[in-house]
Amino acid sequence: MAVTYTPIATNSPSNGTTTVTFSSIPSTYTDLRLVFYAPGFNNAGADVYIRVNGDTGANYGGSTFFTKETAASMDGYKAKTTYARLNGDGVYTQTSTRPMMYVADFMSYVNAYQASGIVRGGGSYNTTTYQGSVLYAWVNQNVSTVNSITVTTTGGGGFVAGTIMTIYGILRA
Amino acid sequence: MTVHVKVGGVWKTASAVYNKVGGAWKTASDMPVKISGVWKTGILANPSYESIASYSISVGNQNQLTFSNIPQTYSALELRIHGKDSSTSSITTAGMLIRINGDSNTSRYSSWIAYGYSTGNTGVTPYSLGTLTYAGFDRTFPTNTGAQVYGWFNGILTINDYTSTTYGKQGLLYGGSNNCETIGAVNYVYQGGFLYNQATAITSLTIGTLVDSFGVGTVISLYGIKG
Repeated sequence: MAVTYTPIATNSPSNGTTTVTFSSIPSTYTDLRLVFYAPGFNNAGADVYIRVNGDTGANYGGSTFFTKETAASMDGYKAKTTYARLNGDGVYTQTSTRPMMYVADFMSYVNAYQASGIVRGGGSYNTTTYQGSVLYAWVNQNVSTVNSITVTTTGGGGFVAGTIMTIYGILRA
Repeated sequence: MTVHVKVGGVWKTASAVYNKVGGAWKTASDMPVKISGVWKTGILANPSYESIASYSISVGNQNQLTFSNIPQTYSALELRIHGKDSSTSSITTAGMLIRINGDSNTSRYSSWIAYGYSTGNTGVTPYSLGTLTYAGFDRTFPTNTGAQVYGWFNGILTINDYTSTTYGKQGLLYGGSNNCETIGAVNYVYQGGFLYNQATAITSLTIGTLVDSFGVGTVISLYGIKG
């Protein structure tokens, strides 16, 4: 049996960094997995975006199922945007010691069709706001093979120290 | 996986092996090793996630794929699914079936799923034990037509304790699809699971489409996870 789930790259951004890019991703695997952990953020109420191959066009579609605070929402269709999300659509960043963790799978990322993936995660523990969990499916109608992944937090404050992002390569038999 | 290397006339396993690479001594954790024709590093110390088998669809005429002779050496199985339906017609419920050990008897499977699709829809669709001959998941594979053409289903199915001969089997699945368009029931996400109520070890696993066949570009891979 082929051993797989190989770490490709890790990034621990310094405090205030807003964008992390994993470039030159090898095309030798079948799937990619991005594991994202943040102990908190410098901004509350912000998003965490992912983009592939630096594409900033309105080419990303997403479907979201999330729980937030005391409510749950399922929403299959969201208007095309210029990004996909790690935090789905509604579970926003929080400051201080409210961690978030997301696992984003980029399935069959070397292909002739469309880049797509599935994300699950959540966090931001708080008794009142911004806590929740997310399941999120996305597709990019413009990118086929993924060779770079960019992770960006909005709001301007950026990531905090202790944030860790790791990309793994998963190879099929 | 255990790798054996002869050092000083004595066979060593990967956890204790040192090797000279480029003039420097390397331990097993960073020693390059060729696996399936590809050089790998950093994977020998404690491998726990292994690829068992996979299908890559290049001709859209298969509606069931079977992983047989599954090794009984793991604690869990993981099926990674990237799929599309081959149809060029609009189908809103091109669902997925799972069968274990080729078992198509009734009263063996029950499934549950919670999904949201289209715009703002919510729902829970239960399946009852005794009515299906497979574990079923509604709303999976987008077709190759119109507004669905950009859509791909991506999902991960995990089955724990699959070698048990004492208990039934539980599978947990999450996945979803989006097609970048405002219409179409293939914009969805869901979480679901199934029970297979037989206390037999899983030696084969079949995944199929309930309508048509798998589309070109579909990749479905089975992995084993060690405990």
